[in-house]
Amino acid sequence: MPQFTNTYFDNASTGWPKPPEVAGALSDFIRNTAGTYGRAAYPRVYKTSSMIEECRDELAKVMGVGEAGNIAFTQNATHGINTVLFGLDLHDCEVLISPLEHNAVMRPLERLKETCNVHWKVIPAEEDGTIIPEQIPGIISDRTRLVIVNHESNVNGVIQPIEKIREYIGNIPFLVDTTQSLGSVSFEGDRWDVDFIAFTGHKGLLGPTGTGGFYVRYPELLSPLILGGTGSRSESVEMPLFAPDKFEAGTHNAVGIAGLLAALKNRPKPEWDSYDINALVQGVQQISGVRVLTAEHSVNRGNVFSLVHENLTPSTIANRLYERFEIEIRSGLHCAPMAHRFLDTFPKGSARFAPSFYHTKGDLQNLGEALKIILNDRNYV
Amino acid sequence: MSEEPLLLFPNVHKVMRADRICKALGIATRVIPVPEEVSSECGMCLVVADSNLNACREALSKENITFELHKRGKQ
Repeated sequence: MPQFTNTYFDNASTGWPKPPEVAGALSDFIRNTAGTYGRAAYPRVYKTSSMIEECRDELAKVMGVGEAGNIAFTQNATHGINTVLFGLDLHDCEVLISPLEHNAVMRPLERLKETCNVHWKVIPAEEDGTIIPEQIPGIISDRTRLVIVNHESNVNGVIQPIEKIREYIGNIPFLVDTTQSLGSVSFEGDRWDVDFIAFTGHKGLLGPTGTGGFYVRYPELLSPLILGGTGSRSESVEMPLFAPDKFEAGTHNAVGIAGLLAALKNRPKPEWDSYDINALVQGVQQISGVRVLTAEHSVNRGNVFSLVHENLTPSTIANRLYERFEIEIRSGLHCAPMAHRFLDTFPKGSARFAPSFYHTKGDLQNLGEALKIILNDRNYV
Repeated sequence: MSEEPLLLFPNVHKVMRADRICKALGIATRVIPVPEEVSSECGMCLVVADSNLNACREALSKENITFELHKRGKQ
């Protein structure tokens, strides 16, 4: 019977465990600090404002961008993506997207299609969804105003070649959704010439839920989604024109940001690496009746993968894993129906696995063993 | 009554960055509420000693941080 140190393999939904310092920071903020961001000048407000700016600086390092002031906090990556999509003037324009986009992108695009005559085209890709950058120029038209790419798929973990994609899209504004990747895959926003970076704080960055946001290279070109008080230019009933204030109306989730900062400053040192993930994936691929959804080439394989089975539904697999080993995973469409259609796993979806940096090498090996047991057990009810 | 320099920034992000830069260079700063006669901001601004103003100006200029300079009566 495989023995695990931690049976939670749903880190693509939300990262857990968090560094112990995160709970300490949340508690300390609630008990001792409080204070709003920049709405006054007494020490409590100063401390909170300083903490939020420090978090912005740490995020800029992780994203590889020089201007931390162009990072805005929102409630999550979805909110950040919505701000970009509704804040640009995309009337009658065309948007290019990867075939592995999440509904955080697809639903706003569908709304824009109805209201603003925005159309989207899928960029040519390999069978696993990896974009073929060389084929992008062939689908660019004079109406193309934005390119959107999910850096790491939340379904099969494919990591897209962002730098190469930029090379082939020319000067078209580029939005990269790093929800799944930031914290586990390196990102170089400035070097790769990325205009918008959407991020969440609670997955690979290991912060609390309710934290996230986006980076914008040219804030002056983007309208805010939410309007209200910012503590700046208060004489005016119009929003300030400068970042980050322009995109941060209302009181910040300061307690969440305190937790995110603690997570950023106390990153765990993983016990395993891509070699272990590859070994796990290869082992699962050997199980009879299984199709693993993952990058074809290990070089662009992230820490997330899914599987489907010829006889067992994804929910059956998830249930068996929990009942037999208390392993927690997510089954279904993962809010990414478009990715599942592309991968030919719609409408049932897949059973998804996403280890944590706190897992041991042994946990990963044991996950492979557990899968062999439940997928080969013909008598299991 | 003597006066001291008051540095008004466009937003809190810039106040905090300026404060950090000054402190790293050993330039003492004080954070105070923005006086109504200076601006209708409801946030914070920095006060530095007159003798530190040039050093402060130079350091912030290097980091492309701009500010409005005001004077306030020493309190």
